[in-house]
Amino acid sequence: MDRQRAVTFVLLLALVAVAVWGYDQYRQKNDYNVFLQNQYHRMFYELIDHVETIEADLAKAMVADSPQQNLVLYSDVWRQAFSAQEKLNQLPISHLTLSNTSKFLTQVGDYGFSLTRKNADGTPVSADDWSNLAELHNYAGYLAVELQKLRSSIQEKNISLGDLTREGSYIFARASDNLPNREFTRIEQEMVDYPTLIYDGPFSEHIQDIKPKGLVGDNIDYQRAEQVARDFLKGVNIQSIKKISNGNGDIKTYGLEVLAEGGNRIYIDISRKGGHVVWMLNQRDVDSVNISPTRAVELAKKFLEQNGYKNMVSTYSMRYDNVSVINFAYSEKDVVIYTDLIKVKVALDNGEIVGYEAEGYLKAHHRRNLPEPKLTADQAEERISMRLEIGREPRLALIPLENKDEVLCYEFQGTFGGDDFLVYINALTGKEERILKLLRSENGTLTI
Amino acid sequence: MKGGTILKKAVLVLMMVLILAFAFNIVYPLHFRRSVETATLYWGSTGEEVREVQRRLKNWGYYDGAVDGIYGPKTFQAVKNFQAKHGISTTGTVGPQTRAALGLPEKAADAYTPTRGVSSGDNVYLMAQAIYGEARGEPYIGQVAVGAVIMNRINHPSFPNTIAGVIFQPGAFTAVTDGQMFMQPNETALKAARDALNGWDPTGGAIYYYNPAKTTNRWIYSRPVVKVIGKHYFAK
Repeated sequence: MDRQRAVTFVLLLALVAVAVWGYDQYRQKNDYNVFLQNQYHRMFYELIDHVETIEADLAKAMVADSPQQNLVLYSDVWRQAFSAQEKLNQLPISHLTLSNTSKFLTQVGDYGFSLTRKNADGTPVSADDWSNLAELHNYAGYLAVELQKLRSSIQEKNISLGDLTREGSYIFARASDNLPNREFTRIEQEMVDYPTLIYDGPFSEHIQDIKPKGLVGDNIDYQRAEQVARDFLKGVNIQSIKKISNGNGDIKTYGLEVLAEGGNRIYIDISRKGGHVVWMLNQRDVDSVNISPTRAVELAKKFLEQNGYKNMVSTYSMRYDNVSVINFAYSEKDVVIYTDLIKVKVALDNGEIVGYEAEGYLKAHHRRNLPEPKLTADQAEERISMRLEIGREPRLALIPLENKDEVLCYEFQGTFGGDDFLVYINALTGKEERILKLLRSENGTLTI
Repeated sequence: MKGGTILKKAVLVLMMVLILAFAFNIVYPLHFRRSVETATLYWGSTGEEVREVQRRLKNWGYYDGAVDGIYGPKTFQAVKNFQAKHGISTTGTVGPQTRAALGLPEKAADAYTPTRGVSSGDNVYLMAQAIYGEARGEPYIGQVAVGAVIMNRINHPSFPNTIAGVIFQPGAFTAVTDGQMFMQPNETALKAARDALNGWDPTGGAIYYYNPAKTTNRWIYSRPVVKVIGKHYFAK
């Protein structure tokens, strides 16, 4: 009797405990669910606001006539498009479905940015610009209407997370299909908030979507590629070479895997046209430091010369994992060509070249007719802010702009309040084209 | 009668377990919060302060890794060694005591202070986490390639504009969706992340990749494959 009662008691207690636990879990799950839904809804509602504002701004831009008004409108388009894109990409909808809408928003933003710049330069809006503006305006309107439809169905049905995903996917898929099939150039903005790209030194972002100009020579077969790899890795005791995968990107390549002494693997891609080494990575771990960074730069330069790259000047370098990555730019008649970049990675234990990357060079390098500067260095210096204390003598450099044009500039190095800067003054027009900030650390110099 | 005592004991044990479980629920988050308040540096921390710690430890010979602002396994070990030498309990984290022993300075205010908020360490660690979660079983070059896809997406108009934006885009990466990426990346993944950030792109501009053995998405097969590395197909 006693025993039975005790059993019942324990079971009851367990039941109550499980119920309490279960309820607690349920409540927590609900809280999270509601929290997430609120976040998504906020994203969604703000997205609609942004798209509506874009449409209105673009409409106003069609009739605005003063540069002051245009400046406000274009820069607002740019800002709104950026925010809209941020929010769109946080919605719980497959990125494959969203990709065209996302692209549209990026393009509107880029377009706003480039018009803002044009406006600042005093360049008038061209006929092409007017038709682009009209087209972007029309699509923004279409997108806003579609989004509003989704909103009203959300409000009517008191929609849940799953419904937002499902119905949203449908709307965005349809919106994507109706996107005007038109290619705008992607504009590289300098207001990047990812200082990662600074690793490359200035101006490395130019290499996307450019037809390779530096690929000279005839097509080669695989046997020849293997020979190129052997020549390139002269110091390495090669055990075997095998083909792993051909590359079919912007530069068509043969992809090789080299097995070196001690089981170490080296990967190397060689262009099918011309047989140039596009990149090489040696995965060897470097455990100690025996040579100085200066020596590493010398070794890297010598390596480039051995491989037929003369006239390369080292620009920026950084150290990590006991290796030094050195950035080289092509130089012609004392002008640093910042588009033609090669990176060389030197192991600081024995000076071996453990990495190489020439995509920038191979895509950008070609015979150029460099213009003569119209301004002297002193004249250019007058264009520089009084606040900047100028350091070493300026040098001439060719830099790429957002629209991928290349301009000849004087490169000034200077300091302000303990920070280092590079300022580029157009050698033909005197325009202040770009300002870069240098980040110095014992690991090397970076720019942003 | 005997059975009764056993049951009573069982009841007691059950109740204690329950109480403990609830107590843990309340205490654990509290403990978590406190450690954030005192800004303890631990495995996974990044930024200028970590860099400072590494710099000091390196000067004094405790640390032989890169001064990169990322609190990784090497920094962890170096801090532990430092603590052992200075009679601080070897937690491997930099709390107030270790901080004092390291002599981290106070910063003075000025009209214009030189820029200090810009660093790339956070991104290296975040990307290493994504690489480790997505491709830790792949050859080294395949890991760099995954990092390169993230970089290519940042510059592509159809994708978000930041590393975090690309990585945390809903549904973009399986390792992010199922939480696998929140593991400590190993040295290989960190190295691959740095190579990818430094511009090595083994894929030749790919913005998608998939494992044909696991993918059920038909659409992805329509994308032109630009490179095959390990188990992954890289596509544009």
